[in-house]
Amino acid sequence: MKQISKMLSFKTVLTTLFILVAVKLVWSIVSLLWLPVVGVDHQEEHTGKPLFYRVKLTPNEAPAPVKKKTPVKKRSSGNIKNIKLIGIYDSGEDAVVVLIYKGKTKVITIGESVNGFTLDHTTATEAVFSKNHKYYTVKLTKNKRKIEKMATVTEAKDEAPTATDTNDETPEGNATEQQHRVLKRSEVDMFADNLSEVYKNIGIREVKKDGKLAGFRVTFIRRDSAFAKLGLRRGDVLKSINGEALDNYATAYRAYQNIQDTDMMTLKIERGNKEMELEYEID
Amino acid sequence: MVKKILLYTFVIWGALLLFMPKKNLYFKAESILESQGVVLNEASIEEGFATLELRDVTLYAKGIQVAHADEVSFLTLLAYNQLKVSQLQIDKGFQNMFPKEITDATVVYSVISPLRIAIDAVGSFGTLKGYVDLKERKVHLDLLETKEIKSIQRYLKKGEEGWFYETDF
Repeated sequence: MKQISKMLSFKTVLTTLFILVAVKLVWSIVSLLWLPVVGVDHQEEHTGKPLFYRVKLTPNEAPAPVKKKTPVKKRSSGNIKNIKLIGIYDSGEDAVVVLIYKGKTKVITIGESVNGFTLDHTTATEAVFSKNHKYYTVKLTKNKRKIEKMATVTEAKDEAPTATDTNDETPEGNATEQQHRVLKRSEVDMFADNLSEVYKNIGIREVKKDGKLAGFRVTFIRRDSAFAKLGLRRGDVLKSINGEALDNYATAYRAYQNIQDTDMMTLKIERGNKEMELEYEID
Repeated sequence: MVKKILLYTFVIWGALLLFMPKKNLYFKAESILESQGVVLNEASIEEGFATLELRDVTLYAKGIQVAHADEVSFLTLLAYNQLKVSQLQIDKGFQNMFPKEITDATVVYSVISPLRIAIDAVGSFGTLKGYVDLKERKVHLDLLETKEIKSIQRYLKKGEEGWFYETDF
């Protein structure tokens, strides 16, 4: 009888051990197949804020100076209609033009060439190119809309390019119409202290390209709100603030948190297929 | 025979708890949360027989620091599961949208009511008690005592028994 009892208890112990081993084995298999061995940690960005400088080649207060160059005998020749002039930056000593050639945006300075046409000089509204000792004037394309009054706006123009002989020079418009938008410090501080007020007045939604965040689209702006005065419109995509690309939420939130310590703010946006810069002074 | 069945059941239950890879299960939960844009950073993780304790936990949502908790502990007895959060401080930027502080919060799920998760919390807003109805996909929280509710008042409704919060998911 005692032997039977011993056998039973031995059997019980064996069974218990078997259960323990079996359970351990099951958990090990589960861990091995489905469970990660390391956790997920948020890594703080330690790259530092990139230095941001805004360089103005022309003062805001005055239109770009018209360069008085020695008149050159110009003759009508060739066709550069493929070149669309969308911007001129003239510092008086040097000049940079922004143009669209074959659908691509190019930035060239005096002496550089596009399609064999070398940039010779600029005026407030024209870029003069030379090729084979002949001169060609490309006029700045005219904007169909009024440039935003709320902010400094540098934008591409809509009208088709015109390539003319320099003999037909007729200055039209400016490459950039720059206006300062001054924001009230008290208003900025109110929004900086109250995030929920921001969401009441403006709606933003993330924009992704190739699975990565590429900015924030404005989904609505409340009329008569401070945000309506910023020059933003529904559908605009916010691309960067003060040179920092808005490619993650943390950057956007950091910019929001630091806005009380900022006196100047530059917002790069995409409107339609065009990129624009809105510049604000907080006073 | 009954004794043996009870004994083996107890052994299986104990073994499941003892050998449960709690840290790895937590890491799995972290990776699921990460796909929703939520990340938890913790200073230390301690595993017990049926518990997992996290200290100095920082909660990030979409890369933004949202809250910090002194301690978060999980208890599982398989049939009864409890999550406790102590001293949860909401980040300054969000204090106008959420309660500033949750002193203690307890979330309980047990097989006795498998379709309901019970919630109790004490914080700067006062005291609340409520539940998550998994069948009706509804959250209902009753504020039993109210203190600072100005920041969250817009989310609340006033009922016969006081303020309450209700939402569907």
